Amino acid sequence: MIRARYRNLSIQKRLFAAIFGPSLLIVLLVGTLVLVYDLVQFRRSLTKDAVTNASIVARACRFTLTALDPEMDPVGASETLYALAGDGEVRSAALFTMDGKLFSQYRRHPDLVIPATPKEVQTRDWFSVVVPVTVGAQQFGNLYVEHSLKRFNQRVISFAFSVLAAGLVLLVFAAAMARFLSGQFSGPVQVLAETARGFTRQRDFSLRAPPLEIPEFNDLRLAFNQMLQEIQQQNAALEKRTQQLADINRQLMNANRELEAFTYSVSHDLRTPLRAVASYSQLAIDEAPTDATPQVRDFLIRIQKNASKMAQLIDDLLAFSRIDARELERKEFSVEELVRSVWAQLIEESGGKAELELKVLPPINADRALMEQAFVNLLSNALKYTRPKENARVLVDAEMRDGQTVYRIADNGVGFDMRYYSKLFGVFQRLHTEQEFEGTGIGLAIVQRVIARHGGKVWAESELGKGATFYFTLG
Amino acid sequence: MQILIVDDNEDDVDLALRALRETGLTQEVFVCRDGEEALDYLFSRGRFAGKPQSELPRLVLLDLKLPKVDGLEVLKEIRGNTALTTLPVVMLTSSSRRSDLEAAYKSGANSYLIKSTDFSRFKRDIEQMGRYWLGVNQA
Repeated sequence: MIRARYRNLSIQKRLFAAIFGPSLLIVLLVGTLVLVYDLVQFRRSLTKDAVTNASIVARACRFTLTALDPEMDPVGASETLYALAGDGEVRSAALFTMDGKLFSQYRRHPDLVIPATPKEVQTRDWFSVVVPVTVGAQQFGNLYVEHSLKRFNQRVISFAFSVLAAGLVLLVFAAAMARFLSGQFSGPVQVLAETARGFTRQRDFSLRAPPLEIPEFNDLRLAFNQMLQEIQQQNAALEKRTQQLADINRQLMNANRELEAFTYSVSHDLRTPLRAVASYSQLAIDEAPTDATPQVRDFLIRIQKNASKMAQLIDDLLAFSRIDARELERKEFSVEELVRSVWAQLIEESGGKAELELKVLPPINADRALMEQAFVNLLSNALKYTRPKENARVLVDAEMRDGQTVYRIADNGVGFDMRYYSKLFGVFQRLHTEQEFEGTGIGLAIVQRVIARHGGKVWAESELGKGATFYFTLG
Repeated sequence: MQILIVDDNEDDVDLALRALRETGLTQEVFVCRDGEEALDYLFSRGRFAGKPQSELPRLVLLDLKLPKVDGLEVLKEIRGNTALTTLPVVMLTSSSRRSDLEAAYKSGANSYLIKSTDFSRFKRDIEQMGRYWLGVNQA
């Protein structure tokens, strides 16, 4: 609690506490010591003086009590006692005979009471001394003198006031010092803070802290400015690099757009004559006179088949190039649902009999249209390559591996030879002949592009005759 | 006059005519070779200045890529004229490009057909399209 409060204390308050605290302690300690010492000494000297004075008076009026003085005059004694009043501190005095009788007295005020028997007393306001009145070795009575402590008490008060005044002066001094020193300390800190703020908020990277008075602060300033310079340089380099990257990105985007436009116009322009070739060869086959030689008919069939094949290649190439042309629109959706609908559509189109085993899949954050393309190709491959199998089965599931969801599409189809794995995802690369399985070899290339566009990875494992397993992750 | 075909490719026009004939859509067909000619025809101007404005086809088969005025421009002109508001325009093109498809619908196309390389399929598409727009649809 106190510690927490101390943490939030300003420099000025800390310095004030540091200066004022110890100083006040010293003043109080020294003041108290001096005061006590002085007062003890003063009090001692007062008592000593009182005894000395009393002894002189006792000596002056010693004969008054002796039988040697025929007068035995209390009035004369009283006059002698009165002389004591020369000392303003004497309140009263009295001469007692040996048998304890009051012989003579002096009182400054009539209210003052002389005790019945003389004894030494110490009170807050006064004290009394008793000295024997002797002639030679014989005592004839006692002199009682009462001293006021008024002056002493005044001294105590003025002394205390002096200490208090010293404390107050110290307080003002400490506050002024704290103010001055905190200005010296916090000023540079504020200068540095102001510079840092200007640097970050206004992004004025040319800002530097001005020279500071205290060497340590100046050291800090130099290091600080060095840091700012470093940041300025790094920022400049970063901006330059960003600009370069933006330029490159723009160039790439332009190139990509041009390439895309090129692909489209080429495919459009290629398709038109191709359509004529394919369509007229088809018409020739359909409408050929019955006496056309079988060889001519065979040629026409070959022309027609190849034109169709080329049309398919162009369509596939277009589909492939479209993956990169589209802006990626990622959102969360259910893969399970997607797999189920794609599967139903494929089964309907192909009339396949494979069984789908679909496990619970976590929702995916991806571009739905692209993921659909990927799954269409992965699942149609699975369907295609399990076709010769009796109990065709396709499994789709997912598991967590190193904090990433790995999706798996496994089939028990004919599989492929791992020796040719490097060709598996290539464009128009095939590991089976057209006679075994139809296709252009674009499917897995599309899958790989789709996954790559999501920042993910796709890979596969297989053993000939035992099926193939495809895995992918999304970034 | 029932159908206006706007296409610059002779083979495509021939195949379309063949498909129409073979599927029994024996309609009267007029062919324009570019966009300008098509617009002149529809608005009875230029070469077709003598043709009555009320004489309009029941269906337009419009290619996208055309000399002079392209298919989209022709489409916009048609849709910009109140006399042709109810004229059905079917795009007949070889482009499967998404942006072409979207632009065509945005400009007011009624339908979008991709010319198939497979003639049997092309014939089937033309037949279904013709039956719908000339038989079922009210314009």
